Formats: sequence, structure tokens, C-alpha cells
Amino acid sequence: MIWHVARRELRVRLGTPWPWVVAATWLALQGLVFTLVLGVFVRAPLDAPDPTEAIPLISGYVEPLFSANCILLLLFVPLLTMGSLAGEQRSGSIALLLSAPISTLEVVLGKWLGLVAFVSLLLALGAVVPVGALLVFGSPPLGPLVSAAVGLWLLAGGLAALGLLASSLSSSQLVAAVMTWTTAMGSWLVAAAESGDGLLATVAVYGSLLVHARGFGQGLLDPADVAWFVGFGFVALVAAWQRLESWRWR
Amino acid sequence: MIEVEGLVRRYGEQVVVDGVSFVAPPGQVMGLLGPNGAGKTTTLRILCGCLGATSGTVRVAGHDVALASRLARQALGYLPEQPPLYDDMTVEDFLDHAARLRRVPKGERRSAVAQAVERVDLQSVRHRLIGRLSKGYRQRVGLAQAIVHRPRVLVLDEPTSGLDPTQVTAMRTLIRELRDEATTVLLSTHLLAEAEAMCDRVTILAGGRAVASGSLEELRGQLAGAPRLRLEVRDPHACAEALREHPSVAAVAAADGTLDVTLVDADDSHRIAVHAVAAGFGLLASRQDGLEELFRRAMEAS
Repeated sequence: MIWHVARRELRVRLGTPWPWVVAATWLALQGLVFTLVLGVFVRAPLDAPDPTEAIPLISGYVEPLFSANCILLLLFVPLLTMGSLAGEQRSGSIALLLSAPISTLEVVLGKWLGLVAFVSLLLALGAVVPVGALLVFGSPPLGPLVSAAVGLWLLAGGLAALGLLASSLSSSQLVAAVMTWTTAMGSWLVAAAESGDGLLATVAVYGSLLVHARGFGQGLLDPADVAWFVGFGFVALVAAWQRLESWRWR
Repeated sequence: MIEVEGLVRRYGEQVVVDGVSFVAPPGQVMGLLGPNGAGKTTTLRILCGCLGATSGTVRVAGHDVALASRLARQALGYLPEQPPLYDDMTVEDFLDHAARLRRVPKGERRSAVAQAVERVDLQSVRHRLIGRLSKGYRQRVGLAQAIVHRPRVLVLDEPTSGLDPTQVTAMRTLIRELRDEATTVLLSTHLLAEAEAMCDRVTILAGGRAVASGSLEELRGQLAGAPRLRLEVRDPHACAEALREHPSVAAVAAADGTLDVTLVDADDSHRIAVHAVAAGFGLLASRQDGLEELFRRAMEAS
């Protein structure tokens, strides 16, 4: 049953214009970032004091691209998730799901899977040129690339779960998007600043999606960070599920 | 079969459904009749698993909707007041999706969808986006969605609202067909004429309570109390004096141009009319209480 919900969620994204507008904008920005990063990376040896010294692939190429993609995810995933439950609530089509012989947990998981599938497709499309260029013009170590891919995918999954939760909290799509953005942007600002002492700062840093994603871009596939994302997604999905269940009691 | 027992639903302090009980037997159309805000939609939503009950039990096809919710929902088709549609899907894709959600086995899905399309006469629009359809077609897609898995119980919330007269007739015909296939049909309406035209049994809701229940004939008996007759005569007061002595009359009340006569026996109404004519009261019209009158009285009594 989960698959039927996921299938519909993915199909609606492939079959309607709005997600493609998001996707096109995404890919355009992604292309721009790639061009800029590539320009700097290619010019770097010329500007270096010792031109024979190799420019590190990770810090010069993988990491900047990874960071840029993280920001794109923070910006765009909320746009894709905002309608998934809020829209159904508003249009009344949620009655179809609630009256069908399928649990609300299956609804939430199905919607999340459908969203993750679409974002994964976007990530894959966006990776074609940057990764393809590496493979064609060199023989890069695969470790950092895999680590970056895992990191982006975990971030996408976490954001999709967060967006779904926000979408279950409000029947307004805009409010849902703003809620997700606020959390996502907050995690970005925390990651950018990452200073200060005390409990609040520690909690903020620990709760920041971006802080936990960063390591993956540096080629560090830290199990603790993987576990953090799994935990984050789990909590957000359970909360969304409980919220959907509570609709029966309002 | 739908069995509702002592159903209560509160929203905070407000009691929307207050101890409603009724049984809708298979092969019959049961109508929930009542004014807006009587608790009809809330009752239907609880039945379909869209809403929880504060207390009381509801069984759909023998399954408790709280304890065996999935089995109950499997047996049920539901068309809410606002049809639950995805505007971005075509009619056929949407019905296929609904069939999947309702666990129609893979091999039967295609024929189930084709059958639903045919039953509600959607052939001409099957490949069109639902968002582009007119209100009448949307309502029909909503109905197709509710019957695509051939449920034993069908719950329809105001199924004919917003339809034109031809569409209303078609909807009624279809509901009757489904009933004849031993489907339990429960529908809500605030229109008495609608209930009279479509329902075998009616439960009247008012203020969250079931104030009367039964076949239309039984309802007339339950609600009517003493049979009453309303006469329009030229001189009501003179007529009242004369009728007061008549053996069939229990009480008379004269008003401006009309006369309300309470009868001892409903079958005596024609005798009163004959008497009135013979005595030269200038009888203009006489009528017995219709359901409209009964309905209004049930509302007032609640």
C-alpha cells in the first residue's frame, strides 16, 4: 500500500508543471554553481605560488559543489513538500486516503518515499555533469564522491521528512513552506556561525541539519552523522504520522 | 449493513452528535435527514474512518470501525460532500489509483475501473484531467471512486447537491440499482423531497439526536401523533362551531381562513370533508399533514 501512495506522489510531480519549474530552476542554479566552481578550480594552479603542486580535489571541487547543493536542497525541498499533506487537507482529497483501508503511517511513509524519489532524481540529474566531467577528464578517487552523494541524499531525506511534518501541521501550503524554510535556514545560519558557548549554542549546533551534513562533503562518511539523519527523519515522520492521526480527533 | 449505537461526538464542549443509534439493513437505501448542522456529515465521517467517535460503537458490514478499522473501510465506499479528487490526474488514472488504495487485486483493476466508468457514464471524459471537469462530472467521478471496489456499504454525503435535474435522476437511478444489488446505501440530505424520492428508510437527525427513524410510512405514524386535517373555508369560526359536535372530531382550532381539525381517526378525514361541503361551509381546500409538516414538527420537538 505504501507503494501506491508513493507512486501517486511521484507521478503527480512528474505529471504537473509546478515541480518541473522547481526542477528547472534547481538545475539552472546548479549549472551556474558548477561553472563558477569549475572556473576557480581550473584557474587555481595558475594562481598558486607553486604551479606544480596539485590542487586538492576535495577542498577545491567536491566540497564547494557539495555545499552549494546543500543550500539548493534547503531552498527547494520545502517547495516540493509544502503541498503534500496541506493540499490534500485543503482540497478534501485527504478523505480518500483516510477512508481507504490503509493506515495513516502508510500514507506518511508513502508520501515521503515519493518525495525522496523525486528529489533523488533531481540530485542524479544535477550530478551528471559535475561527476561526468571528473570521470571523463580524470580518474578521481570514488570515496569522496560516494560520501558526498550519501550526504546529499540523507539531507534530502531529512528535509523531505521535515517538510512533510510542516505540511501536516498547517492546511496552508505557504505556512508549511515557511515553517520548513525557517528550520532549514536556521540550520544554515547555525552552521555558518557555529560559535559561542553554552547550552543553547551546543543544542543549536547539534540540531542543525547542515552541521551534520558538512562532513560528507569533506569525504568523511561518519556513522554518527548517518545515525543523526536517520534519527531526525524517524522523529519527523513519526510526528507527521501522529499529527495525521490526530486529524481524526479535531 | 451499518449498525450505529449510542454514537457521540464532541468538539471540545460542543456536542455535535449526541447518542445517535440506527441500523441500515442491506439492500435498502437509508437516509439521514436533517437541517444543516444536525450532525449528518459528522456521523458519516465517523462511519468512514475520517473522524473518531467520542463514544458509542459503529459497525460496518459487521466490523467495528474503531477496532477492525481496516476491514470496515475495505467494505465501504465513501463520497463526501466535496468529492475527494486529484485535479491533476485524468479520470481513468484517478480511478486506478482509488482501486489500488481500495486493494482491488491487480488482475481485476482494469475491469473494475472500466466498469465504474461505464456505470456512472464517464466514457466521454475518461482521459480528461479531473480539474477541467464540470461540477456534475466531478460528482460522478466521486461516485465512481466510491464504487470502484464494489463495496458492500456505500456512504454518500448529499449525493445530488449541485447536480442539474437530469443528473439528479441519473444519480437516483444508479443508487437504486446499487441497492438492488444488495448494497447497503446510507445517504444524507437536508431535502425532504430527496428522502422521499430515494430512501426506503429514514432517520431524522436534529441537534445531533435521532428524533425519528423508520420507513416513510412508519414515520408518518410515529410523528403524526393525532391525525390532523387542515381545511380552508370561507367562514372558519362558524365552521368550527358546527364541527365541534361531530363524532370524528377531537378538537378544532380556527384561524384566519383556515381550520385545524384534530381527528379521532385518520380514516375519518373524508367524512369531515363531506360534512363540510354538505353543510355549505364553502370548503375551498383540505389536506392532511404531509411529511413536510411532520418533519417540521419533529424539528420543533427536538
